[in-house]
Amino acid sequence: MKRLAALSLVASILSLAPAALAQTTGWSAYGGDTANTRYSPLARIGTTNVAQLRVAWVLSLGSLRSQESTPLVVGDTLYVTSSHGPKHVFALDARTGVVRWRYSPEVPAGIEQFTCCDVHNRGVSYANGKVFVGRLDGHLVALDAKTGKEAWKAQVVDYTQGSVLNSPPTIAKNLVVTGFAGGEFGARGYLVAYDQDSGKEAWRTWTVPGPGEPGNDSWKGDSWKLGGATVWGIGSYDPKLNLIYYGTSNPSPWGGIARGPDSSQYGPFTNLYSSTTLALDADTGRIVWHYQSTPHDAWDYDGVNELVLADLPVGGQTTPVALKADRNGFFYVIHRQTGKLLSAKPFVPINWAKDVDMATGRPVEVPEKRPKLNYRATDVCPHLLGGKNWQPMSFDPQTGLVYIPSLNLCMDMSGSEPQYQRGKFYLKFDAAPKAGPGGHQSEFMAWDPVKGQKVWGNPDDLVWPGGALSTAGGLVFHGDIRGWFKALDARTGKMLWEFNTGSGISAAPITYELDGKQYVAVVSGRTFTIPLFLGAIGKQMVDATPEGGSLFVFELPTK
Amino acid sequence: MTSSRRGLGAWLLAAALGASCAIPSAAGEPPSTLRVCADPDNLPFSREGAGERGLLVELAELIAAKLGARTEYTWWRTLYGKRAVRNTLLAGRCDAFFGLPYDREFMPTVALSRPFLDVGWAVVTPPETVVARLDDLRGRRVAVVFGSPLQMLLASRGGFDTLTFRDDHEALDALGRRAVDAAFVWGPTAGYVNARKLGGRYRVLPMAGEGLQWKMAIGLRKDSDELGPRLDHALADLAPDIQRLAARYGFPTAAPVDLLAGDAGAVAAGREAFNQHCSHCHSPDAISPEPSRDLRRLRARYGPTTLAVFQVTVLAGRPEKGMPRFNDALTPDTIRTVWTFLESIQD
Repeated sequence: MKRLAALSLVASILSLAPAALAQTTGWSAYGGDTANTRYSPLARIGTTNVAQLRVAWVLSLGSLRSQESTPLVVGDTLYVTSSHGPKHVFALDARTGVVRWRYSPEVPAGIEQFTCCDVHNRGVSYANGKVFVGRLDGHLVALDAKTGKEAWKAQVVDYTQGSVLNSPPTIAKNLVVTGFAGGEFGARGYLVAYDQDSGKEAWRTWTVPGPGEPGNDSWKGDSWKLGGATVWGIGSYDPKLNLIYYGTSNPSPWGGIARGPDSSQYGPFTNLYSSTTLALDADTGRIVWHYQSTPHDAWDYDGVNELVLADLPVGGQTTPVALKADRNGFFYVIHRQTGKLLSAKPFVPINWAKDVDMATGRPVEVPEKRPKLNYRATDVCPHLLGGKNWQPMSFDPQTGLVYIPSLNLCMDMSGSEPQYQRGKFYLKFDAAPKAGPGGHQSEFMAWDPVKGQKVWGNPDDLVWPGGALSTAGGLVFHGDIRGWFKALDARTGKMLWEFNTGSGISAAPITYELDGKQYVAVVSGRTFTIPLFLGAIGKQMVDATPEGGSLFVFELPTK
Repeated sequence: MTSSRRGLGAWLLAAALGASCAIPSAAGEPPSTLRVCADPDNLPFSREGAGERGLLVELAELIAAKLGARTEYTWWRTLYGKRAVRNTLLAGRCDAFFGLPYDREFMPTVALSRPFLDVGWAVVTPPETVVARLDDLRGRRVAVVFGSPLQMLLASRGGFDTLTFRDDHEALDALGRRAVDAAFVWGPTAGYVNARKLGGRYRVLPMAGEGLQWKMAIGLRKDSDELGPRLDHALADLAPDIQRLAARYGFPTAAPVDLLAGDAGAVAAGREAFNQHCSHCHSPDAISPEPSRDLRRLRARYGPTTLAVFQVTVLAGRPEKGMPRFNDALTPDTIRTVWTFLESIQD
């Protein structure tokens, strides 16, 4: 039964890839495909020979710290970005690593002073001979894929307001769609679509409804004006339904009392569309459906986690679903055509909510775990970094499992945390985390999305595991904060191979095949900003490895 | 940027060790250097370049002159407060970060000079609007700044017609064009903008209350033992000059007023709610003969955690001791009102 379902899934995933990009041997989008599965049908490297994997070549990315790029491979060219701007976009011969061109934009001096989060970059998108990259200075740029020359440039957002671009955009037909990160100084999120050829704006959709629009009355007073709900993560696209899927960030400011009642009984003050999954019509940007995972958020349970599109047997029927491992600790299965919630199960230890009411879709809160003005909720799980952060998961249609780099941290938090403003004083409590139940800080796990349960897990005493890749070779690859890059048996989680890259790995690996040879690639370069506000756990992260910046490409030895 | 120069800390260390160049002279020895970190674009506090330089930069010059040192600046925008300190002072790019809250808890890794100036939040109104109590502003349009403690305070009390602005300057602009009747902003900024841009037409009233008034200090690295006492001496000597500077930049000088004081109505309402919902077990007016139920002793028993204990106990109850949970029975407003009453009767 499962086997049959798996086969139909392979077929459906292949059909999801836009025709122009149908290179099953490459890696044409951030998530491998626009369904974000991070699954590759390549199988030359498998459980029996992975132990022989060795370094083929290495590229220095030319910058240190916080490397989060997913390389793309289109034809025989590999595209990869560095952090800091990006400082460089490289186009390489995917066989040898020889550089074909390098795009090194002028990034405004001192931009780090403005960036909300870090100076990371998560890579490029590709379509129709163009490479698209978002920059810290708030611009989306289209490059000629052959030469690296700028074709057009559009300002998405003003970086001096603390908003930046660091995720690759979503490709949908003739459009390229992006949001932005940040908004610490007050922002109202939006998604914007540009024509791939001309860079002309096609549509723009606010993620916080304005006056007169449905949902505007879910905000107290004028709090919608700077309500946050920015879109800093990765989108997905279903060409058959012509829907784009994105998760939105937490509402702003953090103090819930500014946006509604300071209570689990928030009534209509849900703060739409913050901490929400949105499905948008790709042609117009119209919001077709939404599902809000954390209404009236008070924990920074940002819902930007990527949606992975799959066709799963639900209630005996193959169903088009979107899968999300949310910051708030629940794993959601949503019907991706209608937005109907199909299941919501905790994938990490959580205590802020008992469960999710399947009739209303709302979490059943534990009132004493909601931070409030002058009230510090203690030992709240998960920590604000979430049950899963940005590091991408992978769905393997062969095993039917999702591989999740999960976090196991808890926190104390009060609901009156002010936003920092220049020249002003206040004491800001840093939500220093503590390890969650079990004492481990993270767990790379296999999750059955149909049964809603964990199949296996590898607990780690350090936090911040890297993103996942699964392959038809029966393997799952991921890195960790100590710099180890690992291959696991996809069915058991048993480690079959590991290699130390010298700096922490947060990014997800890819695999591709050229001239009959399969390669596996991953960037290494420890996160820099995350440890700075994690107290003693942050110190452990910094101590684990130095900063770094390298692309490692692996191969099997030639016989 | 400054690595080739001798920092003041090093010079002071040399002085302490008895080096002959303890007193720099105009001829011969190069003057020592006070390396200052400050925001390049944040008047009235600091600004890079010609023209008005801000109170903190002028203060740094006065201190340097007193120490016989020259100044050297590393400019860093303080859009993210603690990160700016980490990337400048703690990264060794300067010896002194001017303008941090005088509070050891702010960043335990930073040493602090003595405090030299009182700063805090203020309410800004046209002179004809008299504000003696916060409630005097009910029914008026009031500007609050996104994410500020006053946005939270007004939201928690409810019933205010608030308009939210991104920062102080936008809020004061709105006041200037009469789009609002009052603005809750950071006092020094309000005083400065009022003096320079609004013709001094507005009244800037500093507000007293928990978390609303602060003392300003200079941040130092913990390893710069020698610099701290020197700065403290200079700051003590310069106290009159600092007051003059504050006046020149328009900082408010009036004593802070507690706009929540004498909130007799709220206390009375809280007593009424208490007697209606709680007095069965805790006695009328919370004066219980049974010490464990005498709620006048909450503060004595729980100290700084009193409010948190109160909230958890009321919301979740203490079933093992017979205290029911009130989460579903009382509204958040009622619980807050009860707290206002209990707060007023603590021993």
